[in-house]
Amino acid sequence: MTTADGQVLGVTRVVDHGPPAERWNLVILGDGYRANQMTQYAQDAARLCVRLEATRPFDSVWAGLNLYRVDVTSTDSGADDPAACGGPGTTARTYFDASFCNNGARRLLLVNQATALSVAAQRVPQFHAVVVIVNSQVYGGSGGAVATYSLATGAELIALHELGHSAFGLADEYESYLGCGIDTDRDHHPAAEPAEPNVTVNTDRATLKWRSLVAQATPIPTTRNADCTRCDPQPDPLPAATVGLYEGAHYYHCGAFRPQFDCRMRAIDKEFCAVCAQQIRRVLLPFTPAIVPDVREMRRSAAHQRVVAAGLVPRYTGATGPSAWVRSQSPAGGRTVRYGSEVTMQLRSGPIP
Amino acid sequence: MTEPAVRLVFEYDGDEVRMLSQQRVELTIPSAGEPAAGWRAELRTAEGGVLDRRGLPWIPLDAEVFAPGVDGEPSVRRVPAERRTGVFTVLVPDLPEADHLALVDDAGGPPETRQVREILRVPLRAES
Repeated sequence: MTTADGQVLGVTRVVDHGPPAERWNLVILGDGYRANQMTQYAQDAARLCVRLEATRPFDSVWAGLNLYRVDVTSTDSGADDPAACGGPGTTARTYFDASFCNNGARRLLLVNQATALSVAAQRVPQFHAVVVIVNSQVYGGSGGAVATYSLATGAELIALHELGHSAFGLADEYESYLGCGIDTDRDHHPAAEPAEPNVTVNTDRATLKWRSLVAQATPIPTTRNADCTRCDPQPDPLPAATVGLYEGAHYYHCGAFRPQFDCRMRAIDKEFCAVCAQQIRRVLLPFTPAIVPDVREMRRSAAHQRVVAAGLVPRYTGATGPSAWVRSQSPAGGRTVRYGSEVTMQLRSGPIP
Repeated sequence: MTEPAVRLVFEYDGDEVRMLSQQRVELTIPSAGEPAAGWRAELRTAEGGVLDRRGLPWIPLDAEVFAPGVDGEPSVRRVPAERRTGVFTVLVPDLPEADHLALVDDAGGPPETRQVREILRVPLRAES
């Protein structure tokens, strides 16, 4: 029930991409694991790491992330599962006090977030986000300052969705509040433009937040909901992953739009849409190191292009022209620099070697 | 870029907000866009000048509940919160001229009618 019901054993950097001061640091905590279940906890944490690395767009900025596993034991295994919500009425004495049945919803699984943040700050002062794995097979999870999920199949996807909110500032893209077919007051979204990058009330192609990702041939709006009293039942009229303007988002059937038909911010078993992926990359790129390419080894065809290898921003100086070639560069090839760093190339005239 | 920073953890219960901790740390702070209406944190000088401004996480009056999508349960729904309680963190640069951090509630709207209410002011400790 409290921190007296267990202890913090230590911390392990399970994904190590360099100094924590320069990386985006995710802390994994466990609750409801007894001391003799630490091996299982390590495996559960490792599965989260694998899932995150395989998730677009984290795969493309993976070198910018460090993941830490903090080992915390509890007196009991599992979490509180009150009978009031249909659970068996069990009580578990755990360090972070994990409990189902919050706000009357059995699947709303919460922990003591202040304690979780405190442990994260003590063990990994440079942390940016915290996820708590709860040792229970009952499906559940939650968001907020700390993302929480249980071990039921697919529940880890809750954590990915909730990180979308807490770490990357994304909005929910689903078009219902209590659920499709249940809502009676979700017909039209208020006129105010939401601040988040992945939902909008704007239908003007020229000023649309994600206009740079919309092909000219894609109709805007892409879909309209013909009956604003309910969720739109129509299938995606365009090829999957087309970026457009789909009506139904941000808890409303009409008047709010999302960028793609599907997205993890709409249904957690889908991939992040291109707009959400772009936002996640935008946040994580400053943490991602890049290896400077050795431009002196580049082929002629490459040398005649602006080189944006791994996000490096080259600046050409010296002679230029069709026969120009690289004489030197700074920083030297092979060095690791921050993503977006500038590489200066000294060019000379003459035949390409 | 790595820089000295201050992480503050706050707890809220209804309209009451209090600071739980203040910690100095060397890290890379995620970039902050211009915050929209709602709660935000302002890093200020003693004279009230704003040095840094960051939007705060949306503090909902409800909670997001996911289900595996069987037995007719909606795969996602929102449920009203019995009490509006929780915690949030603020990460700001540790600047020598910074004197305090203010949490403000910006009602939004046109600049001439926009109302901004200060919720809490926290002095920044010299060492923490």
